[in-house]
This record gives sequence, C-alpha cells and structure tokens, in this order.
Amino acid sequence: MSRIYALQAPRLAAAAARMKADVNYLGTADDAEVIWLERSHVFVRDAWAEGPVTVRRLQCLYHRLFPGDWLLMDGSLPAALTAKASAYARERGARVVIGLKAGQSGGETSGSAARGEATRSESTPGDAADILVHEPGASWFDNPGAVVQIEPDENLDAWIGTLAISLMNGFDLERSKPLCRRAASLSDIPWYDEVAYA
Amino acid sequence: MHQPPAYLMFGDDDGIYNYCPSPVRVDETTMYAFYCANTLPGIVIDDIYARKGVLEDGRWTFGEKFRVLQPDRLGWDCIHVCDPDVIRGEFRCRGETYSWMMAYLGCDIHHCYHNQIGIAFAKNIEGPYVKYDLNPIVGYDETFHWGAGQACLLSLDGKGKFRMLYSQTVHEYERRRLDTRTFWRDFDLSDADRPVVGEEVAMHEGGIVNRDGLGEAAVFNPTIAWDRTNDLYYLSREGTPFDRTHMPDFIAPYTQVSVISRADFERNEGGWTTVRDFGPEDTGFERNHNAGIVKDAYGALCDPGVLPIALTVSELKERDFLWTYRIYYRELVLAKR
Repeated sequence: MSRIYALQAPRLAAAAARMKADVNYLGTADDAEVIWLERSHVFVRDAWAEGPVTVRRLQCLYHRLFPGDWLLMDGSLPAALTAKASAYARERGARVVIGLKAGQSGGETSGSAARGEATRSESTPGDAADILVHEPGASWFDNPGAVVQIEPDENLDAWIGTLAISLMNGFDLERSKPLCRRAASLSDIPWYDEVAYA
Repeated sequence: MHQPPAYLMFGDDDGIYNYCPSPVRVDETTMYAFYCANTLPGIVIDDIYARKGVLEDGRWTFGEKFRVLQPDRLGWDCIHVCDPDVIRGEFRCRGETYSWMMAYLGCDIHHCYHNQIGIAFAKNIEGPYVKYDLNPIVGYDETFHWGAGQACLLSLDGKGKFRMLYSQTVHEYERRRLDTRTFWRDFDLSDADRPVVGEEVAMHEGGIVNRDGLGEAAVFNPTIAWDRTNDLYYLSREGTPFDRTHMPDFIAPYTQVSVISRADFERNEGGWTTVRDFGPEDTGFERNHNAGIVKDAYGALCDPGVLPIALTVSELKERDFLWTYRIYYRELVLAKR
C-alpha cells in the first residue's frame, strides 16, 4: 500500500479520503475548509490560512514524500509551481495525478485563465502528470504519461478519488477504470459505502 | 485415533480475502462463521461477513455470505472492521435488550496502526448489529502503534458478564521495541449504559513454547474456548517465530493451541501446556494463521473430547498472496485429561 498527498486540491483530497484512501493535504485553507477536509477524513498536514502556495512552501511537500506515494493536483496552481511540485515528487520516487475540469487550463487564480485565455506560463504542464484525468474541454501543454478523458456527465472529483484508493492498492490505470466510473456516476463526492455496497 | 482431514469451509471470488474466523456453533448441526473479508475485489478495506453452516454427513456446508458489520464514514472505526468474535448473553442498552454481542477490531488509519476494540449488539445472531455508543471499549492512544485488537470472548454467567482476551502493543522505548502481547479483563455489560470494566491483566505466558522449542514465544492473536466439563481453557495463538525466508513473512506458519486450568489462568502465573501445533501437515499450506477455535454460543467447547478449529491459510507467493487467504476446518480429538 502507498500514501496519497493532495497539494492545493481540496476536493480531490476529500474525494479520495471519502473512498478510504490514506490522504494527506497541503495547501491554502481557511478554518472552514480545514474542518470540511477533516470531516471527510483528510489528514491536514500543512494548511496556510494566508498567502498562496509558494516555492518555499513546497518544501513542506518535498520532505513528506517517499517512494511509492502519489501526489494529486487539480490544475489550480501556476504552471511553474505545478512543475516544481511534480519534480519534487519524482525526485522522491512518488508519482503524480492531475485532474482538469472543462475549460480549465491551469493557474485558475489568474483572470486570463478564467476567461479561457491561458498563456503557457499559466496553463498546466502535461508532462508534470504521470496520469492526467480531464473533463472534455480541458487543455494543457506538453505530454502527460497517460491521459483519461471522462464522459461529460461523470464526476471528475469522484473519478480521481476512486483512482487514488485503487492506486494505493497497487492497481494500474486500466484496472482502476471500472471502479472509477462507478463512483463517477454519482453527482456528489461519494463515500466508500455508497460505491462499495450499492 | 483417526483425525478427519482438514477441508475448505467456503470459497470466495478472486480478489477477495477471507480470514480471522469466529465460528459459533448454536446447536448440534448449525454453525455461524463470522470472518473478515473485503468487499471490492482487490481493495483492502475490511468488513465483517458471516455464513450459516449446517452439518451434513459429518461435514459443515456453508451458505451465502452476508455482511454483518462495516466501517463507519468517520470516527474510530472508519477504515477497517475485522477480527470478530460473537457470544450470546443478555445485554441491556438504551432501552433495548440484546441477546448477542460481537467484539471487533476497528481502526481509523491504514497501514496497521491505531487499532482499538469495539462491540456491537444484536437481537438475532445474523444481525443487524448495532454499534455500542461507548466504543471503543478497549481504546489505545498512540496513533502510530499497532494498538489493541483481535479480541476473543467467553461468557462468565450466560448473561452480561464476559471475559475478553486481546492483543495489545507493548512499547519498550529504551530498546525501541514494539511487541505485541495478550491481555485480558472482565466486563459486565448487563446494563451497558453503566458498563463495569475490570482491571487489565497481562496474560502470563508461562509454559507456552514455540514449535521445536525455537526462540522466545510471542503470544498474540488469542482465541479461547472453555471446556466446562474439565474446567480448562484452550487458547490458540500465532505460532512463532515467523518464517522470514518466504513471502508472506509476517504471518504465522503454524497455529498453536495450548491448555491451562481455569484456576491457573486466573492465578496468572503460567501453567500452559501445548496441545497441538496446526501447520502444513494439517492443511497442506505453509501459512496457518489467524485461527478461531470453534465454540458454542457462550464460548465453550461443544464437546470436551474434540477441539474443532478454523484456520486461515495462505499460499507462498511474492505478490498477491493476500487473495489466497481462505479458511479451513480441522478437528482434533483430544486425549483424556
């Protein structure tokens, strides 16, 4: 079994933890968000109430990662930080999953990205991902290790949360897909019991 | 004397493991086997399942599995529930009277950490089981220790008083050792809203020796049955030392059953005698672990001349050995004491 880290991707963290993955969160979060994460059984390791994620703050990620771990990101960080976090993960023997929503190209905090005018510095570097899972209409540059486009009516957070528990258990991407699709058919972020016992 | 051969109690699908049996015989020809299994193939999240068995032509045949307990979404048992044991009694809780009680291990983190012991009540042996609101009944504070678990039960009065044995981490910090030992304590849950919890006792291990006398015996993962006719306790434990040369190297190659008089057990100064080491010669497998002595509804041997036991087996494999965990049934005719 391995461990999951979620960097600045609270919904992915919650989705993975609700599927009973071992999930550790690092990123900005106010008190309400920390409570919400903990009520999804996420272990909040480093939560910054003020200021954005910076290269300096990524050091907290660097020292926590170990071989076999998986790092989840959601394309909300600027390209340079995404690339840096991914480089740290790979240096430590971990692998990276990035999830992108429709119309999202990374660096969501910038106004241009929100308007669909992302520049290369704002867009998500695909080669930062060992696995990139996306809704139709998401964009990135460079090549991820593997790409999965989900169906328009599938829940991206649920898909990746279920991928996390599958990867933890040693599944590869292909073996994970049927269970991920089952969870992704639910509109809200599902809990394990809603998927396993349905 | 002829010993009937071991046999597989029931099979399961690929990607599903079965282990930690708690077989409860409710009459001459009916047995419920409670055990731990995962639900989603390949995903290691433990639920507690049961199957009803009937004795036909000297052999137990089991029906379809049904789930009797599952982890909560949050709280102390939100990741795994496993290691069940079930006894009959009379337990009043929140205005209800229950006639069955299950002890189980729960945990809130992966990687075999922070195990604690809870109980659940039912009015029918098949359930539904209602988790006790004062769980965990045996707690453990340190998050990154194995903790407390693997409880087994025997009834002391046929009602709410029972004895529980369980495994618990012992931390010897100067040598940085984390070992596991067997502890026991008595409870009275006749009025579970006002539980009476006895003092914890570290079970004396005097007389327990490893197969072939090799190494220091470590006593954990107990199951117990009371021979009321002769007033003896039969105890199963994981046979130590483990074989570290082949995978899986963290589970027992054999299960050992020892016996002691109840008086000596309660005196807690040792006096155990080995009855049998159940190993490959019994099941044909190199791993024989996580056993459960078959007992009646109150935790007693059904026949003082026969020791039936359910053994979890595993194949030796570098990978995917977990999916070979299956439960075998074996009977040992006991020498007259």
